[in-house]
Amino acid sequence: MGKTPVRLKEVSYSLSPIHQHAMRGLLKDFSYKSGKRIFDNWVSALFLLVPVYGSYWYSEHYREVEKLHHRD
Amino acid sequence: MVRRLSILKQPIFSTLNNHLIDYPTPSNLSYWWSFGSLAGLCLVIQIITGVFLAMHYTPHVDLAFLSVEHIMRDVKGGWLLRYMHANGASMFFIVVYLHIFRGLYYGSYASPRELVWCLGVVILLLMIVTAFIGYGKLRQMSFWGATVITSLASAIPVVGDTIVTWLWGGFSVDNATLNRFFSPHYLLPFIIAGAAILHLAALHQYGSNNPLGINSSVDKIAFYPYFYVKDLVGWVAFAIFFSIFVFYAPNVLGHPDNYIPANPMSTPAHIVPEWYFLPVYAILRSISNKSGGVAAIGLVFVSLFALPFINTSYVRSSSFRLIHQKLFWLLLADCLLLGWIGCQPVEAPYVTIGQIASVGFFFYFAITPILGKLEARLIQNSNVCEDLKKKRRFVDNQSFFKSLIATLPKWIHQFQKSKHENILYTNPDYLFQLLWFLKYHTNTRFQVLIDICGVDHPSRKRRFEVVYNLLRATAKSPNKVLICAKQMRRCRSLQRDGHDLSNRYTARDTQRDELPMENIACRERESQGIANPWAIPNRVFETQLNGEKKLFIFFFFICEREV
Repeated sequence: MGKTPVRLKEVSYSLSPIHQHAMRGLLKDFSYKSGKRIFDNWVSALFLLVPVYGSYWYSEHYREVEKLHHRD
Repeated sequence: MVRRLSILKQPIFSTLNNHLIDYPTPSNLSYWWSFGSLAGLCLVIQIITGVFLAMHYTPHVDLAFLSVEHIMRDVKGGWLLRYMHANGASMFFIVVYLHIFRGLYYGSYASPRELVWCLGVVILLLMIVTAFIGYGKLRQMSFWGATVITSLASAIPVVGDTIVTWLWGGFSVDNATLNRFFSPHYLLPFIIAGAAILHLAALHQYGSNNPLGINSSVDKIAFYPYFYVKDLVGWVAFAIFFSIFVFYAPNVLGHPDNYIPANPMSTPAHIVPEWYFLPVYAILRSISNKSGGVAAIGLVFVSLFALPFINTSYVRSSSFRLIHQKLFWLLLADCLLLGWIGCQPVEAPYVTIGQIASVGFFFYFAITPILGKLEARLIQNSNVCEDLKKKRRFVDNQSFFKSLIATLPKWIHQFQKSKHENILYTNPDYLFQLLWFLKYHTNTRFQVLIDICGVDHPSRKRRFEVVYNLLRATAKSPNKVLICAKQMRRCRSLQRDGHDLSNRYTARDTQRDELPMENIACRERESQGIANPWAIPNRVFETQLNGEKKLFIFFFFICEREV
């Protein structure tokens, strides 16, 4: 049972998968697709990275200030 | 059609076949759905390596540490078993955490899969207990970690101290503790396996969720071979990732103090559990009161259990819930932050950050009941909804076809509504345009072609009708319509039109016109000089309606395309 019976392409072992175009389209426009994915999700990435990096930056900054506190 | 052995029809094998081979699965599952089977793989790895390790491990206070060194140095392949088991636990938690977050993002916990989610939380709890009691007790960090966590039970009023003494089997973590921890550590993975089977059974009651979060009944494919292969890709990627840790960095995820035998007289400066416990550990430490910290840990799991029941959104997937999507990423950032805080010392500013992060974690669950209603209200008040209201003719079921006919008067010349069917009649000259419109227009989107039915009226001069049965995967009504092209003398081109619409046209289709026909109706048409039959009829039967004889010929697409 499957949606449609699909005939798989015959594989010839004398040729490499690249010469046979075994997975055509997998890396096609890869840079465009990656860029589009980043461009579409940059806001979500900000929501993920800003709290993490911001907290790390704040803690490092706090410790630096604390180290220099004796100079006040 | 793949030939099935009769063995698959036998009682046990038929169950395996129905749930693992021919099981209907949504066709649009992404790789995020591979983590379930990966978790099963991790469990199998842990059980197998654990059983073989147990053959050489000695759960005695004087011999445990040395037996592990014996496994590492003397037992053939012992180092591999030990590193696979230790890192396998970390991999198990990585996979399960990704599985949980996938469920949170795509709303897999929402109705009707509440039981699946709750069983998953039970499995997570069992995993945490198993990992904790299997951490070993005779190493410096594991000894003190066990001491700290087991003494939390004293926070329970009245019976707390008794429970701690019972857990320890004495007045401190010692030989008795080691034995009573090792025994359930061997048992619990099999309990987890049973819970995993129940988890799968609950899932198969309603089927898997999918990235769109909509009902996927209209488009399902067999688990084997499609998702078997997809999961295999995930397994290979996991094996590579796992191997990097086992062979190149086996101690990265552990603590170096665990290579020091346990010393009850020397407390480590910073007691930390394994990395997968750090978020919960951070929540525990963020509350200065011991009982409060224990209650907070309990609240974490209560929140997870309650999530399906407090969810008020009727949209599942976060792809279509913009506020929840942002909250999800904040939750993930919060959990990563808690994990980092858990391994930091208990001093400023880590304490403050941990407290804020703990509040943030519970905020996600607290806002869930309100969020669904807020998003629904925002959609109702948005401009999108205003546009839809203006185009109400396509929203309201009763006026849908009326509006469609008003929009396309040239293409639709009749509409007939029966109890179960909506039939639009068109001229063959406009058939393709009408089908294209219905497929691609925003307000119609009838994108699934279920079947094509040819009707032969032998008594008529223009004998043929072709009926296209269309479906749209939406909760809106109507979701099904029949398009009838009437009074056709020839139907040869419609096959190609139908193929084009379903995007299944291939160069081979031109050969179909020349294939010999064996059906009686087709031979009859040939004898009358009508154009060659244009498809292989799959089924033919006669009927009479209102005194008129009809022949129904059903066609099913059998498309061959190269992968």
